[in-house]
Amino acid sequence: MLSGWIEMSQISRAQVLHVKEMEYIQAARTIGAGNRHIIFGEILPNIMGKMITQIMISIPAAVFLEAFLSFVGLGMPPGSCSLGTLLSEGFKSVLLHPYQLIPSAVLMILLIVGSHLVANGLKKATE
Amino acid sequence: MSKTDVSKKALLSVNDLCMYFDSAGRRIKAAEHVSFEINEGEVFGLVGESGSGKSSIGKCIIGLNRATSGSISFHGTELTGIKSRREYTEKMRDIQMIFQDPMSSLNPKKQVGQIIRDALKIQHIGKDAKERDKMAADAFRRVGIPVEYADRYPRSFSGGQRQRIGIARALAGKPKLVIADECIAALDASVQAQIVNMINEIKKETGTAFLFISHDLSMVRFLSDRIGVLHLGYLLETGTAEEIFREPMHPYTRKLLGAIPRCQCRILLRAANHSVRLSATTLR
Repeated sequence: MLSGWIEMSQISRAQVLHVKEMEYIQAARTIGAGNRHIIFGEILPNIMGKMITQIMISIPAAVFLEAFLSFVGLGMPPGSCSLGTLLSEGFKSVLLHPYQLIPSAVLMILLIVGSHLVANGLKKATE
Repeated sequence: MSKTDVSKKALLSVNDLCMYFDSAGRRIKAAEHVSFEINEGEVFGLVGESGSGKSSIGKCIIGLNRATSGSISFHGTELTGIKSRREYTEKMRDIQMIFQDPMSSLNPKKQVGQIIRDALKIQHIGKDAKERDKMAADAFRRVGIPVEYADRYPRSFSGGQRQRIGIARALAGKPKLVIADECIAALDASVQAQIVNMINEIKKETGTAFLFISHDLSMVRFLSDRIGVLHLGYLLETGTAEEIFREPMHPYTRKLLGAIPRCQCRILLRAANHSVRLSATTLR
């Protein structure tokens, strides 16, 4: 959680560096546009798509990380509702009572695949 | 100087302009004591091979690069040494620029009409939104883009159309001088001809002066009233288009003229050889 912003800031920095060399930024400069106009009016709309996509991609990653930590017992305390806790409880008795594992596993898969599909859709829409 | 030059008033005069780039301890000289004048309503062609400093001079005039020394005066006001942005915007309203790459000179996230209206708004041209709308529509009409297309995004236009829109942006505020920095280099030949013809018409109709920066000598010859030949930052000679093409004074100009490709195969080959030799000599 502490380091979650690093990737995001790297990506937006790289995008800004890329966009600010475009000729339309120079065009804005030649007519005397201020920094505020150039940052919010010219650059931000052009990196918005990439930033939204990045947020959407980081959601399934966060879900997976939480589930993983709970699964190995580092996350939520036992008893609270978490996919990872459910999975680890179900995993202990998977041979006798598979119905304890399967619903939470299916839910996990649907959640991650679903948010990936949404992220992809957004990526295509913003391009 | 020919007679026509004396009768006209100088719109822009560049005096003893030097521009150096300092990078990694090396000093790259983009312009060395360059002086020339552009008169009202005239097209001044600046030619030279790539790296000769053509674009740097253009960018110096518009203020994207800072001159190391020398002066640039426009309509009698000095442009070098302006500090505040407001003062600059006020003075630069009459100078506009057309960029090289039509693919990246328009913001892809803005409707093309918006691009032109924003440009006018930033420069405080036009009283209100309505007037700016009208000015943008006029600019579209002048470059032959249907006004209905104003709410489309740049991606739905071809390269030639985008360059027209770039020209419309430059012309919308009725500037006195337009700097066209390699504005036809990225287009294919037939579109180049269209754009050049259009610039010619605009010049005749509105009396706008152009600084036409290009390495395409045949286009420069067609369009320019006067030509300056630039080589490694030095302005070797200036003269009317006829003078330069009929009796070039400087040997480099002669070489440059010899390198214009012509339609016959043998001459084309010779020209190609020539330009190779030319670049070999300049590397030395």
